[in-house]
Amino acid sequence: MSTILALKDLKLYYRTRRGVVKAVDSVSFDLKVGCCLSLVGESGCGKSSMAYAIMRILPRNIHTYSGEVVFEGKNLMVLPEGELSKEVWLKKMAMVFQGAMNSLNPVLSVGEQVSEVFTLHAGMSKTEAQEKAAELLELVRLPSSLINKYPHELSGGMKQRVVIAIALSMRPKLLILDEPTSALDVITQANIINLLKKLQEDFHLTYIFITHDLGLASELSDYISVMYAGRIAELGDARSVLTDPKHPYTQKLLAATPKLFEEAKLEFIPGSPPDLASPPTGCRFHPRCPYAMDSCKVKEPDLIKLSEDRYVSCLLLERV
Amino acid sequence: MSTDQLMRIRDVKTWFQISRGLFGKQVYVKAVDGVSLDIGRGEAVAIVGESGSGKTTLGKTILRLYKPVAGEIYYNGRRIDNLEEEELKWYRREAQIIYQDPFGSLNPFFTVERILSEPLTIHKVAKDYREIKQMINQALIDVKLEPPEMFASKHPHMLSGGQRQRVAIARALILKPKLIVADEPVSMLDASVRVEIMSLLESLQKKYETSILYITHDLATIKYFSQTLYIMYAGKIIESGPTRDVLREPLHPYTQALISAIPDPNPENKWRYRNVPGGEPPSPIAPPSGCRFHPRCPRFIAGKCDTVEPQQIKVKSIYVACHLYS
Repeated sequence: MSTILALKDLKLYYRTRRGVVKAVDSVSFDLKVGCCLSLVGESGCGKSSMAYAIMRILPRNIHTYSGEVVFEGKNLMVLPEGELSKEVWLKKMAMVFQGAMNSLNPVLSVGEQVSEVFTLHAGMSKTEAQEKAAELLELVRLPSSLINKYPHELSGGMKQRVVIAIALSMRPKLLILDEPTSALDVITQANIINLLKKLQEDFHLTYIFITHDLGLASELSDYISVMYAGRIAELGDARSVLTDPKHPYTQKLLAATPKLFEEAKLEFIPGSPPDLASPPTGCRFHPRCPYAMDSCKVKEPDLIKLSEDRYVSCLLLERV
Repeated sequence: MSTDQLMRIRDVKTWFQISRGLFGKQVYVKAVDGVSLDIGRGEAVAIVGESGSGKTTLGKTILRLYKPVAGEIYYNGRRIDNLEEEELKWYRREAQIIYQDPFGSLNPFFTVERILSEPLTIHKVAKDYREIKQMINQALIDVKLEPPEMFASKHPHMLSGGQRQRVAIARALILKPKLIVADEPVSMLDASVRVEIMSLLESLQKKYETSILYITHDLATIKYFSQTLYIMYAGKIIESGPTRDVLREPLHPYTQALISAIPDPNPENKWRYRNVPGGEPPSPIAPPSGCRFHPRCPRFIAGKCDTVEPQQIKVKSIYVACHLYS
C-alpha cells in the first residue's frame, strides 16, 4: 500500500498572552491509503491542532508552523494558497469539524448548503447541483426529501450526516473526522460509525479519526496514535495498542475506559494534563506517571521503534 | 412503606403546554408520561435514556423544579407533588442538583467562596461568618480542592472543567442533603477525569449516606456507580432492575440496542457493524400508539405492539414493559 500522507517533524505553536503554546510538537508519521489512523488523547493534547496543521487551516496567532506535510507527494506547507483551496480542500482532503452539527447555516435549506459545493467547485448549474445533492444525501442514507428542509427541522444525527455528505461531495481521498459523534446519543453514534465504515469500504477512503474515547477508536482504527501534550506517546496498529499498550499513559487511559462486560475496577489518572504554554521538562507525562524515574524529569524520550508499525516514546523502554 | 425508602414516585406525568397554529390549539409535550420509581436511603439509582427521552424533566420533577400534572411524589413519606413553592423551602434544603455543564452552572462573577456560601445564607444554617468559613473549608476538602484557602478565592474561569465540577459537587453537598440529582455530571469532561469525579461522588455519597439519582446516557460508566437502573424511552420507563442484572441480561429490545451500541475498546470492533435500529426517537407531542418503541423495534409484533400499550411485568429481578414477555 502506498503512503498518502507523511508528516515530518510537524510543529504548530500558537502565540498567546501566556506565552508560546506548543500544541503540536515534532510529530511524524506515515499514513497508508485506505487506512484509518485514530488520534486519541485528553482535551488540550493537541489532537484538533494536528488536524488544522494537516489541512493547513490556521488561525492568525501562529508562532511556528514548520516541518513537512506531504500529501500525495506534495508538501502542503509550501503550496500556494490558491492551489490549496482549489485543488486540495474538498477535492483531495476534507474535514468534518467538531460540533459540525452547529456549522450548518440555519437560514439556508439543506439542499442549498449541499449543492453549493457543486456550483462553486464544479461549476454546475443549479438544477444539476440539486440533483447531485439528492444523490449525495442518499449516499449517507438520508431521504432526498430532506433537500427542502432547514437544519432546525433535523435531528442531531441527521445534521451530522448532512455535514459528512458535504465533506464527501468532491470525493476526497482523505477525510479528517474531529470527534464526529461527540454530541450524539449512543444509538445514533453507532449508526454514524456504521455509515463511516460502509463509506470507507465503498470509496476506499483514508480516515484520520480524532477522539478521546479508546472504545470508539477501536471501531474504525487500523492504527492508533495516543497523543499527550502535543506529542505522540505511542503509535501502533490498533490491535497491539489496545491489547498490549506499552506507554504508561496508554495503559492508564485504557484502565480509565469503562468496559461493559469486564469486571476490572476503573482507575483514573491523577493530576491533569499539562499547560502547553509551559509543559513539564523531560517526559511530559512524568508528573502523572506511576513509573517515573529521575531521568524522566530531565531527559525527553525519543519516539523509538519497537517493531514494525510500533513506536513508543518512553524512557522505560529505551533502556531495554 | 419501608423505612429505608427515601423517595416514592407513582405514575408521575409532567406535560408542557405549547400552542400551535394561528388559533392557538393547545397541545402538550408529554415529556414524562406516567413514571413510577423508588429511591432507597443512601442508594444510587440511575436513569438512562437518549436525548429527548424525558430523563432530565423527570429529575427536575422529582426535585419539584417542575410541578407534575398528575401522579404522586413522596419524600420520606410526605407528599410533595402538590405543594406550592413557598411550602417547599425545607425540601430545597434536603434535595440538591448537580448540572451537566460546569461552565454554565457556576456564576462567573462569584468567587468559589461566594458560590458555596450562598446556600448557607439562604437556608440560614450557619450562625456566623466563622462557621460559614469552616463549612466551606470542609466542603472544599471533601471534594479534594486543597488547600481550600487557595481555591476559595478563585473565580470559576480560573478552574479546569474537573475542578469546576468539584465546586458544583461541593455546593450540592454543603447543606448535607438527603438526595442529589446528578444530571449528566461528567458528560462534558474528559474520559480520564470522568472516573475520578464519579469515584469522588461515590465516596461522598457513602460518607454522608446521601441518595443519588444519576441521569445519564452512559451505560458503561453507570455500571460502576449505581445499584438500580431505570431505562427510559419517550417519557416512560421501559425496563428497570438491579444494574448488573439489566446489563447482563437486558430484556427490552431497546435496552438490548442501547447495550449493543456501546463500543468497548476491543480491536475486533473494526470488523463488525453494530446491530442497532435506525430511525429517530419519537416526538413527545404525538408518541406512537401501543408500545412507543414499536416503529423502531426489530421484534415488532404486528397487531399487538402497535395497538396495546405494554404493562410492566416482572421477569426474575427485572421489570420490563414489552409484549415479548407477557
